[in-house]
Amino acid sequence: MQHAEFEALMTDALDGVLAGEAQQRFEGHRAECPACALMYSDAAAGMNWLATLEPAQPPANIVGKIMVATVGQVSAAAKVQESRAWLQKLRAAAAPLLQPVLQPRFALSFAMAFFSISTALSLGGVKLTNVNAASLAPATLANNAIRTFHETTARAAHYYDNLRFVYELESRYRELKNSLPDTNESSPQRQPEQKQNQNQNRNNSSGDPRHSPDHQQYSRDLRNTVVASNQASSSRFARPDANRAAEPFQIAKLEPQDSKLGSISRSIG
Amino acid sequence: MDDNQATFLLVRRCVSGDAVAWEELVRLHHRRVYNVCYRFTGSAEDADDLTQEVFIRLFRTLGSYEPGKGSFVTWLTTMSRNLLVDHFRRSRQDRVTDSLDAGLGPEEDSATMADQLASPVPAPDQHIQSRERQAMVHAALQKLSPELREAVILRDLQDLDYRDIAQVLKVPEGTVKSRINRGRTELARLLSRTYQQDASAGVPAPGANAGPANPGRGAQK
Repeated sequence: MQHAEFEALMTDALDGVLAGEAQQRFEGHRAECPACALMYSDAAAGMNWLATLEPAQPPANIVGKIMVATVGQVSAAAKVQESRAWLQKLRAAAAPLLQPVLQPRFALSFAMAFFSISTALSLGGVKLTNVNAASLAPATLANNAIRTFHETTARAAHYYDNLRFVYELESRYRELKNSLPDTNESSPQRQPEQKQNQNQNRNNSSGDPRHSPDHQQYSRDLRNTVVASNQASSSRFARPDANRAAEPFQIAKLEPQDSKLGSISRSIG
Repeated sequence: MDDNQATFLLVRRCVSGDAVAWEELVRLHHRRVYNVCYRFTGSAEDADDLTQEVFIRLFRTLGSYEPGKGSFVTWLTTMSRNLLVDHFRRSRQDRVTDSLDAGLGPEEDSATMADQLASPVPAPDQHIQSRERQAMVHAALQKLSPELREAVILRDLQDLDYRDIAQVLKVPEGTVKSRINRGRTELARLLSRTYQQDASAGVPAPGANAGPANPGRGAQK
């Protein structure tokens, strides 16, 4: 056997697939030729060395990089992995800061804080749905607060003015009412007047004829007085004081909301 | 054959534009490609870049794969190897200076190798930590000529058979076997020199296959 033939068979011999007569000749040459024997042992050693090499681990993100470079997008699985890793990193970084705060016993405090802030915002006229950069400027916030303050003050003033007017009306009405039974008892002319009122009530289909003026409703009473004032020449309301008392009611009935008129009526009263 | 057919189906899905199939294909093969690149270039960074390049090229040319011409692995390995050769030619200038720096003679070579050992060791098999030994073999592999290197990588690390390697390297099977023999032998001699260096530095004699390296080579010539 020649050196070249020996070399050609060497890989098969090292793979362990050499058999039969070829193997005998191979072994024979190896025994008598030191150079080939040495080559064989070196090749075997080299093969063993290479066998010790374990597969190298590619970088973890290489598949993601390839996907970005080819399809132009990170795969869903890789994205989930990355975002999860990012979240975990963030959580790990924030844990020492948030650990003393994130406890169940502080839940109510957070709720109260949220409530206070939202109340303050709504008082300041800030609507979270249409906040933009301009509406967050300090001047805008101050203007909003001032405007809201004035609007609220005006509303309260209106309310109390109206309330005062209503009280005034009520007291007038009470006065008037108190004066009514006396006239009722003193003059017998009251009876036909009463009947006429009842007829009117039926025509108005209120369905609840109440004879006593004490139980009559405010509006009906007002109407009565208006009617009475229209008939002032013939009735007991011909008395000048009663007539004068009826006038503000007429005004009040037409424009009860106007506080200025209220003050006018007060001045008249 | 079933494996080949499954791969071919996967490839056809990729060609039709299925990104999920493409990702599966990348996941299935990126280790193999990365390892070829890493063992050939010797650098993890280069291997990272080159692996991406291989898959970008694969993505573009996937439609031209024909299962009749050979297995997908062989096709992919051929593509990787061609890219590695291109890369090697591009950076040959760097490599020449590199090899000049690394050492001209066996003494310097050995010193470099010895430097890579954390501690002098008596025998290759028992006392070296697996990690150090692997780093040493990896470094020795880089000292082989590219032709021998690619042959032993494909045979001993990638487990391709001679026919496939011949197809990848585009040389006859006989040449493949010859290169594998020479690659293995040279690697063993490079590594044995390291141990001789260690032995002369006062470490007990190395094993039988590493010991009589120099006189044997002399007899061969």
